[in-house]
Amino acid sequence: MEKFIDPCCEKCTHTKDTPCKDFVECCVEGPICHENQECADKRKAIIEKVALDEKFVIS
Amino acid sequence: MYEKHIMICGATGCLSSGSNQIAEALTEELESRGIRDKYRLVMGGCPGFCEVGPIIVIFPDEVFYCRLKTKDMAELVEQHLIGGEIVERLLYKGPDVDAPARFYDSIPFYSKQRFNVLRNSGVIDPESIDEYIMRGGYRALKRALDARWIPGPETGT
Repeated sequence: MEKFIDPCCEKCTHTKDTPCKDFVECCVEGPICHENQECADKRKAIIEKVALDEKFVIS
Repeated sequence: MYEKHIMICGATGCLSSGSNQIAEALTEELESRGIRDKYRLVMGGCPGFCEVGPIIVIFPDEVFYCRLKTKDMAELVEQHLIGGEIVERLLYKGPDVDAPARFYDSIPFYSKQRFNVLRNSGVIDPESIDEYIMRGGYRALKRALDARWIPGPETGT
């Protein structure tokens, strides 16, 4: 998962043909549809790569 | 995580005054010193003060450099990025300030402005949707779509 649009695991069903209604929140706060620390860490890694500090993210 | 974010104005005014060449010179300077990976260089959105371009804003230091030339990049890297000292001669100076102005809040052109719609301009990479989402992008659209009223059989109309 290098970008938010990439699925974090096989449980993510978001595609252009089957868009998830929670996609936007899921990018920063996810995963929303399942619990998995590894999936959460993947999102966190994307954020930490560019976020200068904790104020950078506005959810 | 990067040590500093270096936002180079990539909008029309600064491009015409040479911000692409500034970006190239800065990149070459950082690469020649082997420190390119420490800094996030972004050709960002327009800060709005085209007449003093090319502009570079450095975060988290909150320093606004303007009227830059390619030959200034070595000094900027040496003194500011490596040495931690602001290059005063590259700060904003004008008849409306008593001393070189360091950041938006001390530059009269900006001091009475508040960015709302353009609050992410000059902060994020304008070509990155991920960064836009991190800064609240699409949230208003999501709220609007969630709240929409859809006439039809499901709503009994």
